[in-house]
Amino acid sequence: MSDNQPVRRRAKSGTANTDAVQKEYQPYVDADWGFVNHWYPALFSNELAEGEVEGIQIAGIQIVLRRANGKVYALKDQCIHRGVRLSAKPMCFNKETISCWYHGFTFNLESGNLDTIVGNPDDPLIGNTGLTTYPVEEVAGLIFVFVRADDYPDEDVPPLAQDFPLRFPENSERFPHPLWPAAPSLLDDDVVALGIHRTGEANWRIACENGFDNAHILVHKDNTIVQANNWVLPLGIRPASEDCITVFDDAEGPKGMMQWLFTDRWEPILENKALNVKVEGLNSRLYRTSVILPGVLLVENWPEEGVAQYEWYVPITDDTYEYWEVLVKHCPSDEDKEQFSYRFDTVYQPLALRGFNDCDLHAREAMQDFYADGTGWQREQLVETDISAIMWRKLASRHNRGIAAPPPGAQGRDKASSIRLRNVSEGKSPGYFVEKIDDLNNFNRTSVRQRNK
Amino acid sequence: MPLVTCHFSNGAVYEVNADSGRPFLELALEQNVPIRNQCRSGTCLSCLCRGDTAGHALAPQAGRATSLMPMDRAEGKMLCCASEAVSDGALYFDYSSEEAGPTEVQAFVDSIEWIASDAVKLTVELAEGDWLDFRAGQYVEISVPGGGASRSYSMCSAPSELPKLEFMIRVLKSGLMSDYVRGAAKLDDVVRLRGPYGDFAWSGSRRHPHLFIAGGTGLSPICSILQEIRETSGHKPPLKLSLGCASPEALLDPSFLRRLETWMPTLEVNLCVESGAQNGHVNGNALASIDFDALAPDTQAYICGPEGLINAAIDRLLAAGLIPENIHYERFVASGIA
Ligand SMILES: Cc1cc2nc3c(=O)[nH]c(=O)nc-3n(C[C@H](O)[C@H](O)[C@H](O)COP(=O)(O)OP(=O)(O)OC[C@H]3O[C@@H](n4cnc5c(N)ncnc54)[C@H](O)[C@@H]3O)c2cc1C
Ligand code: FES
Ligand code: FES
Ligand SMILES: [Fe+2]
Repeated sequence: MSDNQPVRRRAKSGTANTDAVQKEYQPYVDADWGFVNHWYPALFSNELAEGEVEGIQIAGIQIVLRRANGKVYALKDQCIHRGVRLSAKPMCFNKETISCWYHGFTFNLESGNLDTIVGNPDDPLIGNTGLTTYPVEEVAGLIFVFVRADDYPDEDVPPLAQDFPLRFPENSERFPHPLWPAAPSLLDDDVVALGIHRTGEANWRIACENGFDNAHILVHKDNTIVQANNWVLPLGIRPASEDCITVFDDAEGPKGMMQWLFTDRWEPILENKALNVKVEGLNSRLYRTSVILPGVLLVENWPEEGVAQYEWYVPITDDTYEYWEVLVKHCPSDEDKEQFSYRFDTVYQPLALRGFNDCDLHAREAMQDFYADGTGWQREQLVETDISAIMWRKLASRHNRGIAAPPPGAQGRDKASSIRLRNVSEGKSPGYFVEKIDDLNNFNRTSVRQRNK
Repeated sequence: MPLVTCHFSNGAVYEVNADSGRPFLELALEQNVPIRNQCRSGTCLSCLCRGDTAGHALAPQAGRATSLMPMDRAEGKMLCCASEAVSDGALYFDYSSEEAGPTEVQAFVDSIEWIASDAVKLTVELAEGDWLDFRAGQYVEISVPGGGASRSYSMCSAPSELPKLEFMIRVLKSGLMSDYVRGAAKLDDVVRLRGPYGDFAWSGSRRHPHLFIAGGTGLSPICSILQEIRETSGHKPPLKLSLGCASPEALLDPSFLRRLETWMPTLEVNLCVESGAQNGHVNGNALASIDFDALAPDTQAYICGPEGLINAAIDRLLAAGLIPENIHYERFVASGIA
């Protein structure tokens, strides 16, 4: 016990706040590092060729991926011995294991067990410990990883479809879409998924809430894709009915919410008299957004007919996220594939995924400082159009499978570590991928002083 | 066969019948002696102990390198994983054989919030350098500032919230702690806590339905357990909580319970009041909302509250076919009676 004069500790009590309303979704506010025990995209399939090893970070958890005999394996990328990232200098002696390049601890790809130690094959530790493994699924050219807490049981791992947006037409009756054809899903046959992913400097929740924020249509007014298509967007869209959003949370299905855009449940705003601004000849692209756990967006009928845009805002640290934008289209023939791919390169990528959504990256970054220290969740002053964000926060508070803890010993936890600062000074911002060692003979990072005579 | 005694700092003594030839650590662990260990190869020093000055029960196993230095050996230090028993004798370990024995700590009052007409939530924060690990469901003794005497209270917060601890305290018309929280208590007061105590804890089972029965502030340890379940990885079992209080005004923190219900999809909360039932309340005590005939026999039951409620609940649960091992309870015995 402390001496007679106890000292105040004043631990930072998370981002807890005392406001009664916000307590309703406190678990969401607590999820600075994201939700665990969910499926997240990790890499595009073509980013991991046979035999290759890559290191990434999701919800604070460092993960090493390796493809062996076509199959992708994922393990915790933090050696149990001294914490080195296996992915920094991949070393594999066979197709069943991955070894740590530092002292040769060798882990089974399937089970994570410590199978042997290269230079110490009889050590008593062998067989008694290992690394957490992460279930992997590969669909439509994307590698998904079930990012879990170390003690999450194998038998409780849900199917990938539970963390995927609703599929159509099987949900067309429940969520009719008279103005556009059934949206393609990554899980359908014959689909092609083309997209990009990149790191954004904001908390994942800020990014996610931007994705389905109906009131921010204003920022997109000047986008090239909008002007080139002669789209005339409303000034805003306000909820005009009690049932403007429908929550879906069937026990075995995805947990999320559908926004009934372009129905009479949402009213487009065409005029602001106070500012003397008016929109004439409304000619907007028709689309609809839904969001599901752990933070996946589906934009139906976007950016063109027959295409759907999927987005993930995968938490890396509490202040960075990996932004995934994936366009999905049914392409039964090779010709369809070629056309889709050509249009992706020439139109969708530059004008939609970059141009249009780059504008969103600006907006998310602009919000980050306000929320970074946790006070933003208390200080934000909300209006009726924020109903979408609040519904989502409550939904996420209820249906998340676990809140990520600040990760012990992982990169990005200590914002002012010397390595992070050096990387920044060298122009490398904190990111998603491990920094690989490409030349062990060359530690070209500090200035060397020498005396030679 | 040598007989070796292991002495721990809390006074616990274990005897080990130790064959020579095998590492002493292995034999001791087989005989359930809680010796710390990690590498089992003489490196990490986790299994360090000190031998008797009278003689050496252990001798280093031949041909094994260890991280002990000559001066360590001269002081009689030994590594259990790299030694074998050679004669009878005693070994001393400078830690307790129990994982988290009771300790005494100081804490600062963070807030006292009325959560019902006759109950407060007391929130404290452990002082710098002090720590008190506990399992959800356990309690501590709080020494009432200025009063000298102690009273027992169950934590309603989860262990994950340490160094913050929360308690639900019923405020009696008069009583030592009751008078303190109603009157003198203020922010930054220092209170002494001793604990943890009690074995009212979650069994960890995630495959069986759970029934929680709380009378009054008996809700406190149950809140802690519910939060522990919320934070556990994997599927959650169906959870039913029935809270009974005297009147609607006396219901403890119903808005918190409603929030917990929205954050835990498998949780159902029923509120019972002895009188003045309003919309949504069940008339009667905490048992009134429970359909005992419909209880699955593998239900795990947790009961906390006054003596009478516990006894009545146990009778009904046994009659419904539950086995005694699945009925867990904690009695809030009034001070001076136990
Ligand atoms: C293991 C354990 C855990 C407990 N956990 C909690 C808890 O989480 N929350 C909580 O509120 N209490 C709890 N209690 C009860 C608590 O320890 C005190 O007994 C109670 O708070 C009264 O303390 P006091 O100092 O205010 O009154 P005291 O000064 O102890 O008593 C004043 C008078 O009130 C009588 N009295 C005591 N208790 C009651 C009662 N319940 N109803 C009517 N009269 C009473 C006494 O007999 C005495 O005559 C627990 C008790 C035990 C044994
Ligand atoms: S740090 Fe990986 S083997 Fe030593
Ligand atoms: S267990 Fe590590 S030295 Fe004995
Ligand atoms: Fe946008």
